[in-house]
Amino acid sequence: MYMNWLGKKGRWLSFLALAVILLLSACNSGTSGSTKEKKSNADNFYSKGKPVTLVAPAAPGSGWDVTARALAATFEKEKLIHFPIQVVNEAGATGAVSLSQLVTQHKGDAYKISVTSTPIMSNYLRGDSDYSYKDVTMIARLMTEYYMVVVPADSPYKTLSDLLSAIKKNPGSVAVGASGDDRLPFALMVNAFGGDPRAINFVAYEGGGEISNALLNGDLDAAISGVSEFRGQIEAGTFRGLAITSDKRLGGVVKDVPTAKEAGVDVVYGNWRGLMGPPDMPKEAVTFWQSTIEKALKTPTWKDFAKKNQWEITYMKGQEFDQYLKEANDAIKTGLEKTGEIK
Amino acid sequence: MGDVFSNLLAGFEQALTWKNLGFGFIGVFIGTLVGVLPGIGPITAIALLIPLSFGLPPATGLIMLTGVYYGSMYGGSTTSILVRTPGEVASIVSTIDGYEMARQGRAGPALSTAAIGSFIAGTLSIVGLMFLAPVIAKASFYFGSAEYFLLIILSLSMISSLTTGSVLKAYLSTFIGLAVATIGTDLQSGVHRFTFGSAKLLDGIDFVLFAIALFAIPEALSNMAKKGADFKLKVQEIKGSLWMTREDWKRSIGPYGRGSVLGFLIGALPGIGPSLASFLSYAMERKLSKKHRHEFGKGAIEGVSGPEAANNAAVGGAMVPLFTLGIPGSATTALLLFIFMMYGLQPGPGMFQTHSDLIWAIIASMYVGNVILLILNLPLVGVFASILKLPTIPLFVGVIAFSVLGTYGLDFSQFDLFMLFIFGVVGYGMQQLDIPLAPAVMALVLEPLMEQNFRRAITIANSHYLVFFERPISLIIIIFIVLITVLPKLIAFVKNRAKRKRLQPEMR
Repeated sequence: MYMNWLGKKGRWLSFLALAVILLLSACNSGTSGSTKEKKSNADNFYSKGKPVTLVAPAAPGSGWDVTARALAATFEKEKLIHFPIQVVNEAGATGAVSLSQLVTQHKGDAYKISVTSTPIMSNYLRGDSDYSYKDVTMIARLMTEYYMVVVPADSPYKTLSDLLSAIKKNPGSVAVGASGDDRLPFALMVNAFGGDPRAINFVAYEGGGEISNALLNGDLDAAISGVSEFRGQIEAGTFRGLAITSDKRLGGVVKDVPTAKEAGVDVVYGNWRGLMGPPDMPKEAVTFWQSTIEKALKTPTWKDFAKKNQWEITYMKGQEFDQYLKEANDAIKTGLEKTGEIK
Repeated sequence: MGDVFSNLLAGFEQALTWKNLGFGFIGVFIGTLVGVLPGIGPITAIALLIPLSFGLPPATGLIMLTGVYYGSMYGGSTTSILVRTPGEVASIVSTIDGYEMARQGRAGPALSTAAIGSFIAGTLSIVGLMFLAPVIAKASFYFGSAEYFLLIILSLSMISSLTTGSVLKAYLSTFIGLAVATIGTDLQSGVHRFTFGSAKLLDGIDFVLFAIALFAIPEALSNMAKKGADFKLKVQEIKGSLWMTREDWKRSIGPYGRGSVLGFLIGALPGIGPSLASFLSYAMERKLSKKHRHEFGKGAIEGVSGPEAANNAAVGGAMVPLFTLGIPGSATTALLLFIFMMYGLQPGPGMFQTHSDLIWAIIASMYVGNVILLILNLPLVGVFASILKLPTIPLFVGVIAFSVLGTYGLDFSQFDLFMLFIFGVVGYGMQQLDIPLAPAVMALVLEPLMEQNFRRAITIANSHYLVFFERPISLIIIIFIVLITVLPKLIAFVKNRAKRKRLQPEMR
């Protein structure tokens, strides 16, 4: 009877619905049922062809997403792994939603890894997330991106100290664009210069594209963002780079931009990106990913990605990485205190 | 000029091979399918196909991915027209007259005009991109946050044009949308607003969820609750031709042209998307239409032709800042930027000089993608329109099932289903009280743009509130707003008085 009302079209529709359901469940299969095998032998890990999920804790097209997809593509293209790996986007609250799932639902799971970076620290410090980098297994650091302070080419500010003195004198008159936590290194610079970090006239944007536009249309006087965001404009001569927060000068298009240190402000601040696993991830699994990533970062495929995206490969693991994370966490904490975001 | 043509010809040489056309068809087909399913937008579809395109040569991969994009934009309007469920932001306004047309048995012409409008606007905007990009990019520098803010205010002042009923109720609906939009983390201060301590609410209410809850659920419920909505096969008749009549064409040509120009210009402003373009086109068509103004909201074909042209032209417009300045205007263009970079292109000011081969291949692929869209979708109009032959109850049960599935597919979160239920009840209540739904959904989309740009403008001006009156373009927009909102009332008032004065002496 029921089939009669639906007719041919209805059957076609229900078939389509079924296909979609199957597709969706296939997308999700990497995440379910994997915890049962957490106690299996080291040799068995990843040898059965069971798929591994690589989480990008943000929307497609974001920095995390690009990193995750580039990593998965490198693994597959260079034949470094012999099981399927799929990138899954778990967007929400700058990674906090995905992090809470990883911590609470996937303890001891060897089949779920995730891209991570500085927000895992700042979210926790601000109280926006219940979990910090200490609650997961930090596997390795992949790369570091440094920040660049820029002004439009016709700006009266020729050097970093020109800009910082103007902010020190009259903070309200200099509009500084930044997205999210990118304001922290700038606050540290103003602080080191003797200005008041809380008084900086920050204007928030959602990304480097919006910021570039606001510099070009005259809304902003200066801005800070990852070096890669401004690379094209520096090359074209529409923006002037005042300082980069790296230890040593970077090469390529930005080789003439001084480090903050050279410009007279002792601030070194990098935005690292790394890979993490759930809490209590089996040791063998951690070692496997550490060595696989080390190999991957040396391949031409990855080097090509890194070059196009202006990523500086800074592989790091183990104790050295733990120490680095602690220092990075302290720097973010100081930045947040200086801007008055936390007490 | 001759240069442009020879370059374009070389681009076509790269683009027009059987292999490329094959992948183009695959892309458009997948895109259309994805657009028809609520919840999976163009961004997700493109992201899923990126791994596949890694192995393809640049032109092939680009044709496939742009095909997905165009296909999903078009597929989104299909569901707007057939079951009042917009697949993405750009097709909100098509739920008004498009759906009305479908209810009158004119789903065929509505779908056709959407496809043809998309095609014409897509093609025109690529032409615009080729010849006008540098000029328009420069012009967009006159638009700062103050102008963006006023542009949104201008749009909101015309929001009652989305409805036929009471203006008061239209604004009530607008404010419901604005209120819901404030849920989440405030970008400027990082403060959490109305999140009740839940991390799931930090990013606010997703547009897709809200649109499904307000459009699809109430429509399904009230159709099924109607007396006499039976299980028997009661075919909704498709009246007249499946194709556009001569009259339809005559009425659509103007909206196609105006929608294309408007959409292209608005799309070229980074950060302002196709949603605003389609909405402004709708408002404009309604104001301009003399003969058919009373039909708007009741199935006027102009209300589909204009907006559908505008949202597609806006896609081409969004390429202007991307190609000339290397600035992605939206999440989708950011993803396209990533794809271009994957193929070795560094978009930015010097791009036309340094990578001319690839650029022209991209532009040629956009042309090809557009043509494929038309070829594939016109025959599908009949197939899609026949879905409405299903009797009411099974059709709307299906709509609800797809709505729930689409919402769950957003994040695989039960919380979203809970929100769908809450807002579905709100939407049903609004529909029962005769409060229009489109203004609320449009307001949800526009609120972040309005608020962020207002606060940016004020912060940049160092809390100097007169900033809006001191910039030439913003002052022009303010004058425009005053003209649109106050002048008609004033004229009516003066006319009335004059009439009364003329009448009074006679009465004496």
